[in-house]
Amino acid sequence: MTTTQRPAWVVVLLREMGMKVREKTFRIGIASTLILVVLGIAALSFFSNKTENHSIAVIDDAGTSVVHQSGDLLRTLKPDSPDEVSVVRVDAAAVALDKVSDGTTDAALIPVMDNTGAALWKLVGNGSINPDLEQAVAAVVQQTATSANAARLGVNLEELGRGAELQRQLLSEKQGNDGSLFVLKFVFSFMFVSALMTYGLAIAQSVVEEKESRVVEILAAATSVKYLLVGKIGANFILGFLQVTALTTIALTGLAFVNVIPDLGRVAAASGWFIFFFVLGFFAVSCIWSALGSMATRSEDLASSAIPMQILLFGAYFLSFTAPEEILRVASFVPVFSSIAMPTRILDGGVEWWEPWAAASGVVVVGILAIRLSTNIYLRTLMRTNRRTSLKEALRNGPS
Amino acid sequence: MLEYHEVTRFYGERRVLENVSFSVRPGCLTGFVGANGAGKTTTMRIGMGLLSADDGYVSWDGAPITRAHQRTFGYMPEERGLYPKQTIATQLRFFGEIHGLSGKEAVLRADRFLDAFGLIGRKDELLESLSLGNQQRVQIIAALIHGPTCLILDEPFSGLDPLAVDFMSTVLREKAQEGVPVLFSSHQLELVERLCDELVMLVDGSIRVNGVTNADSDADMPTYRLEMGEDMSSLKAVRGITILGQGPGWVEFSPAEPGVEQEVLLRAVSLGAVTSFSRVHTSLTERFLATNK
Repeated sequence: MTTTQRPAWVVVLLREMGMKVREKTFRIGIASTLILVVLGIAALSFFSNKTENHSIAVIDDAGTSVVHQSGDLLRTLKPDSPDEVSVVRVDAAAVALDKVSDGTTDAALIPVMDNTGAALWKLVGNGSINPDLEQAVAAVVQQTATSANAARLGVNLEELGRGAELQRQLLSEKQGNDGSLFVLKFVFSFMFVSALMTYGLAIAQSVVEEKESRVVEILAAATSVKYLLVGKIGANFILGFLQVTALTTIALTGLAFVNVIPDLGRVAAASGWFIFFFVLGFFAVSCIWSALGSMATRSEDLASSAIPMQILLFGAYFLSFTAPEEILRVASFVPVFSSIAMPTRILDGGVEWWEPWAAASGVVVVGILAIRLSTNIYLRTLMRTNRRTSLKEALRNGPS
Repeated sequence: MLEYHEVTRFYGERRVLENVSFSVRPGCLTGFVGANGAGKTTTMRIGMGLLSADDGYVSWDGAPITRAHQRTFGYMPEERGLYPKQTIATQLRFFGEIHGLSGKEAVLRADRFLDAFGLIGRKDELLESLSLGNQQRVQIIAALIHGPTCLILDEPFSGLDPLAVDFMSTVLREKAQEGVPVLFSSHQLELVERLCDELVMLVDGSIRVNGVTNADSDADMPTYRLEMGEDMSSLKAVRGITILGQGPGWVEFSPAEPGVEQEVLLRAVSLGAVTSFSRVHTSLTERFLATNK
């Protein structure tokens, strides 16, 4: 227990934090966000890291060779999660077909003749054939046949293949809009929007509860109301920051553990930006929340005045993973929206180095204006405990 | 001493206080009465620095009051000014610390008060689990914990049962005896009359009564009542009296100057047996009703 006096804002901050962590709804909220993050990673792992094992029945060594080469090709194409291909050697084509029919193997690779008498390969499946497997076997069969034909016809294979190679180049580092990226954006945006929402609303509720119970009069008589504001925002910022940092660390550790994201470095960098924008956005948003709280006199009033803020934050959230690229790009420079949209774009890749800083500057400028305006509203309306104050009144009247 | 000097306050276009001047003297319990909306809470909030005066000022010990002075005051807002979902001990410590006490000192003082107020065994319970009377005890501890130099209490007796009223009265009386100026508002006029040394009555934002509680409001024109079995019609002949009321066996009159009432009494005694002769006192409630008509 302290034997020295603590500044009033620290006393308020500690009380706010203490009350918050004891709240059942707060603990349930943290737990459910954590569960969502873990489930998100698990889903990512399940869908991205699913390794299939294809068993193929063959009747001779040539078939075995084609299957092995197909396996090698699959490993080259999908190095992170290669499908496995195994050979089941049988004596006759009929047996191989039986194996496919009864489900013992996924497919059978059988040598056949066409009507010209040329030797072919037939891949037989039951109902369907895995497209990756079919593609790999087809490529190997074509390569093998081309080589054999070239040798038979006395053609130089290298000369034949000149100019047929497809080179690959990416103009930006933008990642494909695949399922795993969508899940990542969904989970990360949710983590940060829910923190902005939870802790912002907590500030507003705390302000209105003190107005409702008239505690604010005792506090305002004992200390400066600015310290009350600083203590409240500080407490919720610390809790929010701890929450997003801890959840991000858990998410990144989980992603590293399940090893489903090839470019985890980019995700980690995007997470850093998410936290950076969270810090900037929090102060602007929290001041607006506190002003909303001070304009209300009862918790019921807050429910309606909080709606625009909730729409704004949820709008930013949905934009982050549903908006077309150009709209997301514009949103990433609009303060408040940018707190989610810009880190989402960084996660996508292809963001110029200056863009996050430009968006951050916008948040800072608008944040400073919001803080000044909201603090004024807070100071002007905090002592009006008899009725709800409209925004017009709050802006018009001087401090009481 | 806390003094209001011609304090005026507007809410928008509406003037809610007009040239309000009165003193709250050390060692005195000053009762503050007025109808709803008369301006009591606004006046108290101005005293606490929660609202500013549009005109006039408040002084403390002769000098214009500062926020530093006001922060040493103890304050109880109207209704309940506590956290319902926090334990009693935790919030008393909080109120102690917010008033500048160390954590250790705040806990020590809270325990001492809770012990004296009979709540030490319930200090770890949530405030909302207490009865209204006990919540009010916690409320007064919150106002006293830092050793206030002045007490401003808005409706401290509101909703209390007779036992709790008695307890609160004792606490306030003790604080006044320690030399702390105490100003409290109340609608319980009999209580104010019984408890307070001084009285301030506000009507529509203006001071109507300001002085000693038991002072006779009709000192300049007292009323006397005389009762006897005999015919009293000859009393009318005494010069310098005004008959205010008369009935079978009684008369109420007002003497034009002191001493005339004695002549009336002597005349009555010469007529027969006087069964009662007394000065008629107006209760605070009667004065309140008359003033607020």
